[in-house]
Amino acid sequence: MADEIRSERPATRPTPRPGERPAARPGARPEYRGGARPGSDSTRRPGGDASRRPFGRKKVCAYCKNKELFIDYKDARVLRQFISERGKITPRRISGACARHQREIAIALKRARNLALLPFASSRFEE
Amino acid sequence: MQERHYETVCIINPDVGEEAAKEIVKKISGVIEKQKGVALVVSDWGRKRMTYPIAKKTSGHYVLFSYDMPPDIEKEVELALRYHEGIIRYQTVRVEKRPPKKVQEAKAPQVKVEEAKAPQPEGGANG
Repeated sequence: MADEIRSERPATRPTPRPGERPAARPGARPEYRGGARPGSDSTRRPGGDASRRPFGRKKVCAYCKNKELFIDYKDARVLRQFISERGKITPRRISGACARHQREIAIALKRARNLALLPFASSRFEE
Repeated sequence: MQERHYETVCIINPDVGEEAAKEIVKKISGVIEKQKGVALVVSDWGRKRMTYPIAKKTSGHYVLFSYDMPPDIEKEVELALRYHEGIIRYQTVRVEKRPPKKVQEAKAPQVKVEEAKAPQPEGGANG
C-alpha cells in the first residue's frame, strides 16, 4: 500500500507521507516533526522550506532568536504568552519554543503559579 | 562552603498594614544577614492582586529578597519564613542564570530598591 502511494508522488510534496512513519496513526494530523525526510534534499533552515510545509512557516524559538531575552518567573506579563486561556501551559508545537527553552518556560510558569502570579486554572471556567 | 545566589519572594498578608509589613521585611533581612547572606537586595513590589486566593486573601504584599548565601545555611531562612504569621506564601529559588546586563539595566529603574548593599539590580526580565 505504501509503495503505491509513494510511486504516484513527486519528490517534493507538501504533505508528509503516512506510510513512512510507522508510529503515525491513520487519523493523526499530518504534521512535519522535524528532521530531513528520507530522500529529500532539504538543507535545513530555521524557518523551514515553505513549499514543503503544509501550514506555512515553522516557528522559530523566540528565546533562541534573541539571546538577550531572559525567562523570568517573576515576569507574569511575558509568561502569560505561554499559557492558554484556561491557564494550561501551551505545548511546544504552539508556543514554538525549542526543547531547552520550553523546559525553562515550563519551570518559570510553575514558579509563577506558586506565587499566584499566574493561575493554576482560570477562575472564569470554575464558576 | 561556596555561596550560591538565591531569590526569595514572599507574600505578606495584606491586612497586617504598612508598618507591620516593613517590620517583617526588616526582620527577614536581618535573618538573611545574620546567616551570612551577602549582597542582599530587597525590592518591594507592593500590593498585587493574586490570581487565586491564598489564605482567603485575594491580594498580597509582594517582597523580593535577592542574596548570596552558602547552601546549608539557607534552611535557617526558610525556617524564619515558614513560621511567620504575617507571611502567607514564600518561595526561595536558586538562581544560576542571571539576566544579561542589558535587560538588567533596562528594568532596574522600574523597581523600587529599598536597600542595596551592592549595586545589583534585581533580576527582572522584560518582554
